[in-house]
Amino acid sequence: MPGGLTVDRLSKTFAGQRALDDVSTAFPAGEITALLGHNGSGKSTLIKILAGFYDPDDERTVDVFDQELTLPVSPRQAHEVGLRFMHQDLALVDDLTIADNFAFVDHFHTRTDLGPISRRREHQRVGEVLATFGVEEDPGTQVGDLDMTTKTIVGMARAVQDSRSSEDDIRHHVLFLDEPTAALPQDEVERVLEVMRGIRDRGGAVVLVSHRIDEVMRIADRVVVLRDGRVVAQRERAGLDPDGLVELIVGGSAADEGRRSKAPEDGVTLSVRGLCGPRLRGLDFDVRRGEIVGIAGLVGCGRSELARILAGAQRAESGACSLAGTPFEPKTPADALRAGVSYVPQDRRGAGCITGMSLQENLSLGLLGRFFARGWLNLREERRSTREAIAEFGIRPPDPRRLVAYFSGGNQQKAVVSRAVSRNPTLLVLDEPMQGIDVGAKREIAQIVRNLADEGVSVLVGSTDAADLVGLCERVLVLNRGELVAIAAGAEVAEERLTLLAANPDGEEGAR
Amino acid sequence: MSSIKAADGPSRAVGEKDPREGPRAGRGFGDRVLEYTAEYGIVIFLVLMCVGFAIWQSGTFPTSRNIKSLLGNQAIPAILALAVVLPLAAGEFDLSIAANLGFCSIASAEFASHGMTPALVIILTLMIGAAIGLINAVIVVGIGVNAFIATLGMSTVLAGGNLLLTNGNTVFEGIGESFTSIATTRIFGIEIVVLYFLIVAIVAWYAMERTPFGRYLRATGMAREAARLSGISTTRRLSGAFVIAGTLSGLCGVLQTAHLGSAAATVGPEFLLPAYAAAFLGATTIRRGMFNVWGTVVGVLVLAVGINGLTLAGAPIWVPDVFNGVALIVAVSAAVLVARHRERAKPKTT
Repeated sequence: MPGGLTVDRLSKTFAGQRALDDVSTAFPAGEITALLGHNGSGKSTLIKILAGFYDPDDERTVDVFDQELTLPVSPRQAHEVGLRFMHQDLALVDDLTIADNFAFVDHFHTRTDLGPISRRREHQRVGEVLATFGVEEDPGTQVGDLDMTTKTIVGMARAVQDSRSSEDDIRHHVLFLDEPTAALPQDEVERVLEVMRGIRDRGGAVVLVSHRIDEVMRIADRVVVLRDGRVVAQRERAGLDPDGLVELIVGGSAADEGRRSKAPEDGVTLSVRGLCGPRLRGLDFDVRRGEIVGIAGLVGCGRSELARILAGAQRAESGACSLAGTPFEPKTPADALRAGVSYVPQDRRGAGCITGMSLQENLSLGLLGRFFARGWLNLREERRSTREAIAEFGIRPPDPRRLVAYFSGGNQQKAVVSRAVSRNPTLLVLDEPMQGIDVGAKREIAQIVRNLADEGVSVLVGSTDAADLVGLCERVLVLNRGELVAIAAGAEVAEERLTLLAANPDGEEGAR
Repeated sequence: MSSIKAADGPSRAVGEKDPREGPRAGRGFGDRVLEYTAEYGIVIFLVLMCVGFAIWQSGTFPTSRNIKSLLGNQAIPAILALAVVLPLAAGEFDLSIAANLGFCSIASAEFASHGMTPALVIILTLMIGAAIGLINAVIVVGIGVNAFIATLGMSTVLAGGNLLLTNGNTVFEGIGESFTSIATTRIFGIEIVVLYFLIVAIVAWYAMERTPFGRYLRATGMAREAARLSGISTTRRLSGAFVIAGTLSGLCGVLQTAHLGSAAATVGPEFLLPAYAAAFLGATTIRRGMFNVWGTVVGVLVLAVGINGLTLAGAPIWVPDVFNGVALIVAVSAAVLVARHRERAKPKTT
């Protein structure tokens, strides 16, 4: 296959650790290649070397649409030969218009840098690009006013569009997409996938990094699987089944569905009556002792708000909650924690942990009282306790002094969960605990949750991806626009059923 | 799944250590030397500077008289530099510390000249300093005004207050020996303010590094939402930082008056930049990337030794300001570069 990107024997070592080990692979033109692997498998390292953020161990030449590019490169050079990247957070500025956001990558079209910007011309040009991607919004719309899906498509359009030449140039581009659908509601994913197909059909090479196996099965033409910095498989996607794919990624058998050893008990831990917030409109539900209850729903359904209210991070407008029979109205997160409610927020890096602090410092955040005796912090005791948590939760690498920023997403999440658990909560609230982490870490976290529930802890797990709730939850609350539209239990806790309920509640009779 | 085209194993010589076995494996001696040099760069710079001046100005710099006066003169700026470390660690600027020092210096001069006992003067002045810190806390933490703006406003208010109290004159009448002795008493020939500074530094180090307060203060500075969600009362820590900074500024004010025996209407602003320069220099060493107590002490010494040495060498009067300003810019640049280097080198994946 002519064109595309060919990488030859690329290696990268960080502080003695091989992050990328002699990787040779290709991302052909006119195909969508899924780049798969665990957190920590080397996907990001590979992408960052190509993007010019890291230097490889040795100088290497890669082939981009028959142009030779010698690594290391600068981000600018990478851009010029047609390597384009869309980061998971899209890197769009919410306060600016779509057209202005385009100009960051593409410059304003003025004769000189000091020439006047013609708003009309900019808008016309950007509008034409947007139209080819099926975005109908006006280029003067503020990015912050767009929904997530449109934003994602705008991000993709911005990455591949090329200013000073014709639109055909997509043919000479390699577009890397880092989890473009992770934050999107299930029913909107197809729109983004359609745009990816469009770019492929116009001759571009698309590289998709995703943890969503179903999505990869649907869209990828090829898969490249990395594990521990090495390519363990590269082949056509056709002929692979989802189990086979997971097996390639985790390097073991996929048939590892965890089971609980106990059933939920009878007593009610959490009781919610008429709970209202800015989004929530009167929720009523109970959670039993030792029960794992899911919260499903699309983005904006009120899932995070419910979690934040229970965690004391946000106040309810009206309604009542009680915890183990006593009224529960936390004013601050500290109140909620004292009452026995631990919370794992959705925004892992921003709100879950402090990335600039070490693992040890993160695990004892809010718990230093345990190690403070006779006027001193007992740092040795703190480290010992951290090592216990590392062993118990399987955090890798097992280094208490390593900054949390340097751990992979899955291991960061395990650290956040372990801190929440170490409070001995009666209710654990997890908001999107599986987002952006690999299959192996998902399983480990699911197992941690099951073990806790077996000990009598009640657990609420919120997720926009119904697949994360299936096999874990005894019951699932389905929210839609702030209302509880269904409670799925037993056999109804199935991916298709939940997705349907969340997306289209009106077409269903209440499942209650 | 035999059809999978697995990549060949890596070409590694038999018996060669797998670099993944340990995080430190494969790091050479050179790497570690580099690491230490970066970590203790400004400590090394301080030592080199001392040695350099000792050789260059061998008749004046390395004398016991010069060193004693250097220490005596730097104790108060050093305490003020420690005062800014707390709000900085919590992620906020307190620009009012120098004006607070000035206001407290004048207030204590007024108290002393009206015949109050030294103990009463100290207590009253510390209360004024703390009250200023508390007002800052209310404005910044309670109302939510940007700390930069709030404390800048407070500075200007206090500068006006100085003129109100003094009418623009220097306060010196009636300030007696009993009051000045709280700063100028000598122990082994060194002024007692140096001892005060040491006590403040040790207590500050203890509070920052060995108590939950210090750890949570840093957490507040690094990621406020994450700290709050983990049950830390970030508003309390932040308010605490402002009040402690205010109190320490008040202490500096009393000591400044006692040290000089007078208080000029314009005292204060000249202390601001060196305090921040020292704190930022300090953030490049000992605990790199974080504002820390001993780093700040080293920062104060770098500035003091540099200016002292250059002055002894006959540098003209504009040199100290330039030196302070350049040091601040270089320090912050170094901190940024260190952070960027770390960012690039970080073994971050996916």
